[in-house]
Amino acid sequence: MPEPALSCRSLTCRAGDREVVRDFDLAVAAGERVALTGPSGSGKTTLLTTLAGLLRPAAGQVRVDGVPLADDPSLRSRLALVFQSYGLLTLLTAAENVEVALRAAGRTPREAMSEAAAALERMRLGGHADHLIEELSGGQQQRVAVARALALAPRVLLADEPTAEQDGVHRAIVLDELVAAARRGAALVVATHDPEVAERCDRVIELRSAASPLSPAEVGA
Amino acid sequence: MSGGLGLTLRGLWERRGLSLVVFLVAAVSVATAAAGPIFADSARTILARTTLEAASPDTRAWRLTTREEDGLAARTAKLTAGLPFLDPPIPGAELVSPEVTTRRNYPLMWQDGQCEHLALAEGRCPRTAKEIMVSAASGFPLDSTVRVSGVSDPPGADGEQRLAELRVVGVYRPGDIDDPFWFGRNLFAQSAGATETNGDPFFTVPATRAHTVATGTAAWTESAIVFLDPRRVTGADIGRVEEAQRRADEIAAGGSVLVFTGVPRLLEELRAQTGTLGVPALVVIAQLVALGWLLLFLTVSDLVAARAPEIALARVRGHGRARVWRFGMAEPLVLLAAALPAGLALAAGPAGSVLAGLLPAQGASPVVVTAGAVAAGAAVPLGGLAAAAIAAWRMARRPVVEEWRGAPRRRARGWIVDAVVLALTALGLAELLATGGVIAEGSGQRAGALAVPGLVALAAALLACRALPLLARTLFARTRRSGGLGPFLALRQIARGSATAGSVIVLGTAFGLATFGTAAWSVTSANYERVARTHNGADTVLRVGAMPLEEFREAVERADPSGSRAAPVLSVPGGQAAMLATDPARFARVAYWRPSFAGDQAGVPLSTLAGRLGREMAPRVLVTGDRFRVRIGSVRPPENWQPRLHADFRVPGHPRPVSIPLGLLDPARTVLEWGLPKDCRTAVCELRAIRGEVDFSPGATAAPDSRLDVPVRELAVRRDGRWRELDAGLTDPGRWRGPAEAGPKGLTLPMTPFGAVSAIPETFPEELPALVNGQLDGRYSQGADQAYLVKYDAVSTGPALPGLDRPGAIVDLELADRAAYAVDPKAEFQVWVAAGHGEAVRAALTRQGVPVFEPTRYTDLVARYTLQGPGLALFLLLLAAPAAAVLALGRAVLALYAAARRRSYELAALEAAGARPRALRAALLLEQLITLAAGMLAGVAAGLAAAAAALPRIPQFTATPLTPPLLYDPAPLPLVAVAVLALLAALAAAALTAELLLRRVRVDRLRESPA
Amino acid sequence: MTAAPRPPAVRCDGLVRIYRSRETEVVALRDVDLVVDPGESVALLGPSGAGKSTLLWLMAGLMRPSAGRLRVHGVDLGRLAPRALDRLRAAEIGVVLQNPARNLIPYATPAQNIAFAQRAGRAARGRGWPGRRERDRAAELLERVSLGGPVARTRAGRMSGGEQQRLAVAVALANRPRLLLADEPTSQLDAASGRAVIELIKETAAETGATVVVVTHDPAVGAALDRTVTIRDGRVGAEGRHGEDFVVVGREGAVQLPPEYHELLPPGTMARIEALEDGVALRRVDGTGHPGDGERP
Repeated sequence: MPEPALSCRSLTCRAGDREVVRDFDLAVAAGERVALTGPSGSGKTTLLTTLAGLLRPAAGQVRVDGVPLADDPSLRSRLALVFQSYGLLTLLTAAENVEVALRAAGRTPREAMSEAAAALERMRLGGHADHLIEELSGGQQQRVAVARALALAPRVLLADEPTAEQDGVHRAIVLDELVAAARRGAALVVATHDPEVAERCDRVIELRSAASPLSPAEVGA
Repeated sequence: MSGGLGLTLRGLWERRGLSLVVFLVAAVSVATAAAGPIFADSARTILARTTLEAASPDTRAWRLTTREEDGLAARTAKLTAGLPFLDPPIPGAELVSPEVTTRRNYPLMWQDGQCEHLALAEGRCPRTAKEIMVSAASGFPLDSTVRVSGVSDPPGADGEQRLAELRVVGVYRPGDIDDPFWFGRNLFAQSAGATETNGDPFFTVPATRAHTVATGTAAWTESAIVFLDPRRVTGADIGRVEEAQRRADEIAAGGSVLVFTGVPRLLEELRAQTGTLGVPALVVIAQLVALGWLLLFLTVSDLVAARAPEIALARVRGHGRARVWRFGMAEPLVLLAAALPAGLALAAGPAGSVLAGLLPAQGASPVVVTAGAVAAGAAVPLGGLAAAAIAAWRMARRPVVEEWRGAPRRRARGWIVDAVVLALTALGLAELLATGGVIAEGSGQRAGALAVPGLVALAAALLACRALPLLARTLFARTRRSGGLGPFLALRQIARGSATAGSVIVLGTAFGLATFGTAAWSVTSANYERVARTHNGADTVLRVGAMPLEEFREAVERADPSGSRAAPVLSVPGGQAAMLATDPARFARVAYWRPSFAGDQAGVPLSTLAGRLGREMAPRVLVTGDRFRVRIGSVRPPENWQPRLHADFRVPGHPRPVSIPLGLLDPARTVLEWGLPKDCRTAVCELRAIRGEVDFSPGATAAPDSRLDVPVRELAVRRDGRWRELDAGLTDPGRWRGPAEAGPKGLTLPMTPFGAVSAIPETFPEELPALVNGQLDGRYSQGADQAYLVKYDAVSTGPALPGLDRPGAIVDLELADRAAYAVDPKAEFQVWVAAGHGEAVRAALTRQGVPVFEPTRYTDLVARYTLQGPGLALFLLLLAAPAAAVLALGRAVLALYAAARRRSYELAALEAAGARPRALRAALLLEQLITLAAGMLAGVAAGLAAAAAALPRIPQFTATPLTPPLLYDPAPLPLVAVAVLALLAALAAAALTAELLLRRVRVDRLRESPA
Repeated sequence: MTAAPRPPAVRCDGLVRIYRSRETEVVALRDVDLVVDPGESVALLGPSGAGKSTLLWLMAGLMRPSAGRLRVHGVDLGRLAPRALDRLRAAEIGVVLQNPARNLIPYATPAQNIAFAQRAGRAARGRGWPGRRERDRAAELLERVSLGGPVARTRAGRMSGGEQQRLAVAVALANRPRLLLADEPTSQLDAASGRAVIELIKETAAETGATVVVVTHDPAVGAALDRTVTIRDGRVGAEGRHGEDFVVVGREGAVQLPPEYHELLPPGTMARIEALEDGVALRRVDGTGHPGDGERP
């Protein structure tokens, strides 16, 4: 049986002094879609950030394709995270933001240009590709962040509230693209309040509030 | 509200890094601005002192004399009252009368402190009445008795008056005749060999006067000399010196007291020197203050911006606008208030001593914090205050929620400031470059040229600020299509980001000023060197006492047998043009020469040119004796003619030719003779012309064409009773000129009815070959005797000549001597010495007994120029502008660091997006480097442009020399050094800030919003 | 709601707030109607970006509404001059911000922080000098929030998150405000501290009779307060009192269906309205719409 694309055992994460995640286990196979629900402040962001390899866990390990992240930092390039605060460079245009990520991941500049353009098209941002981020609305910025993650065609796609700012039409578009990415083989982990999003996922994990750190309670789809 | 102050101090400590930088920037800016007036003040003092010390003794003292007894004490007290820089008066008295045996006038005098200023050869100083000290040259032996006709013993019991017997108790030799103690009077001419002046003084004690009586017409003259002590004069005292002069004038107006002084000349010099410092220094100081202002403005704005969260909190808590405003300003105010005294202390202390050490000071000049320094220093924090007020006000009015929401909106910088500055700069440049500007004041316009560099630098910086983003934008496409992430990110940050505008402006301005200062100094010091070397003539110039020219040449010959180290130069000041007469061969080895001096003959070496100055001429016709005889052929003068012959001689000691009449010509007379001038019996005279004049009997006319040729057959001189024929070459055409012709039958003098005709021995050419500096143009100028005009035949015509600071010519000494009848007393006897041999030659001359005065090295002249007003102002700029540049760089680094908070979010985002630290570092480095370098290089370019435009119009000398022409090309080396330093500094600063920013990257930042 | 003899603490009528950036407009609040009686404690719930914080800032007088009216203690905030707004904030309104550190001057002690707020209050009331009374009150407040003792001497910046937020509450209460506004006061705290802060707020409100409005996304906080108002999409969607949830019928009759009912009446389906005595019933029309792939309006 192939190793899950993303897995962790007994993961404990801290934000400052607080322990926000304790003893968390997860295994996500390629193509699988997992939703993390729970109130904000319940540790979803910290959890996702740790799973993305950007934060070091207080205890436990994150594995990508079975290999611990700590052992091989280059595995980080297989993960992509859509931040809740988007993590975009405000002085670059939408296209440039995506291109930077692509080029950092090793594409040639020309490849980056064309792939970025395509990704933004899919997010219905073709017309805004050359607008500076600070000129875009919150929702549009969020979609740029999603486009960026999708363009990288990562093995594991982590998204933190990717539809929070979207109105109806665009929510659907984002969701469709996320699902399509999963269909193409990415393991998808989405933290969300949105029941629609939870609905389109294979599994829903509810994280209870910070009052009691979590034990995963699986709620079937 | 002590609570308020406590809170403010805590806040300052909280942000101690930023607070410290603001404090430093403010303090250093204050110091820079305050240093200006302090420097100017010190400089003024140094100017005053050097002017005083260079002045001749009579120009820095007053000598009051009166025949009244005890008439001086009260008046000198009045003169010196309340003026601490005046020495106590030196009393004295003098009585001049003939010494009975030699009949030569000898002054009998005393001057308080005389013995310290004389070298005692034998015996001792006089102590009691009627004891005197005589000079060695006077010849009176020790213990002998001397009597002068003006001094007698008081009438004795028998009523007779006998001349007082003065006992010689000591024999002295005069010390330094330049000793100011003697007030510049030439008291010791006898020791110098003069025979016709008064003898050297007999020094005695005041008691002598009490114990004797003046007889006959002789009378005692009391004197008092009041000196200015240069060491106690400061720049501010010039007005008080004028006051002293006024008092002296009042005293003189009283009538019974005579006041001798040259102080008015000194005052003129002082005013000229210090006056030229005023305006340039002010302009420089103003620019430094403005720069400090700008710097502080930006820095304080940063500090207020860093307090944004607290200010927002104050608003949330409901404090009123005004209170919030005060709250926002509190921290900067405290820092500025502390920086002012700190800066002033810095200026007075370390900066002051550095300045004092750099100026070639004679004696320590105290560094005083003047009111001007405080004012200039205080002007700087005003900029910071304005910035704090504006920034705090803006923040007090901004909607509070903006602080917590999204990115602060970038506001494009207004065009107004740029437009104003550019307009001013254009105006300044136009006025500078146009001939005959609108404001056509003498020194005002020119000193105003010093303001142009600051404006140009600022304008260039503003333009660079605008141009940089545009330029970055043009490279967008290229970095998008190829290359690494570093340039991609860096260019976009430059094009779209805003944090560095202020830094570019400040850097550009500061570096512009620094570059200009360097260029100006390089040009100025090169000019100083060139002018000093040219005006001095050679490396070292010794001035020696006057002596006959042959002795002069021999003395130099003996002092320097090699012929390559010393040259005799006679410097004749001249009316319209000066003249230097010298030994050409030696001159060529010793003088300062540039090929350009030869003008059209630039390729010809000086030795060749100098060689052309001499000429082989006819030997001089020298006569010594008591009678002169001319034998002529028989002549038959036409009707009514009364032809006469004269002979003109050059007689030593007579500035003009001395003429003797030889008699009326008539057919019967063939021998004409007359007595030679008396001096010719012992001295060597020279026959300079045989002149014929024709008079007419009253009422008679003459046929215009008539002519009488007088053949001169023989010239002879009687000496010691014997006649000897002179070898005058009467048959040699080469030895005579003028209308006279020498032929086989002798010299023929064609006399005409009108005018005199002279036969002149061709001992010197009619036109003296000369090296000429351009302005002369072959006009006539006075010769060595300043009497008759000499025409020059230019061997070369150039823009300048060594040793001349005005139009003039350099001629052969021998020829000049032959052309003149005597040497003008104002002529200076100089010995020019090549580098390295000054002391040796001087010693050699002194050993021969030649009095040698203080030598002048060209470096002394350079020092003097440096101390003049314009030089000092430029020196100030040179010192201060680089300090400002360093400050600007520091501030730029600070600004970049202060923007770190925002950048750290972006950097975290970049890292999260997968960019590797190396790419991040490259991006940061490139961005800082380009921004800093752009500002600096714009400044450097602006400084160079300003130098090219403004330097020719900025005064470098108090009085611009007529010659040599000044050059305005700065030496490339210092400028290259500045540019290289700038780039290295930019690199270092960029690397430093890149590292600092990278260290703050933490992914945690991404939890927070972009601001 | 019966009409109160006193004016309501907060009254919003058709409140609208629009943010304009360079290219776009974001409507944060659209037609919010809300009444809060004096002495009530209300939790504003809702997803992030729904406009809760905007509403709170409007109530604090830190922003002006784009349209509509907002009255605090009977005073129309839209009409007040900035100076009057500042005075109001100083004397009558206490604000606790989300980020504990933002509420405080980090380099000052707790007592100095309280004094900072008191100074504003003093200026607003026109009184002159700080007195013993103020210092005593400050000490009392610190005791109240369990920050008396050695902690009182540390710099505010060095205290833990929970301590900071407790201090923030004390500072907000320094001038005895009649209205206490708190923006997600517990979101950055752990469970125990969060509970303590909420308890503190409730107690103080009960003691002083102040009105409390707390923005939060934590339902537990909502449960601890009397009344919850859910803001969704810039509108008041639902209310809860004493544990029971109600939908609020909006201006033009819009009703937001809470998520738990979406299964019964999926969004996008058509429904028939049946009138009832005390309201309406919505009945699904069968045959139209399936969960998951209906067309979105």
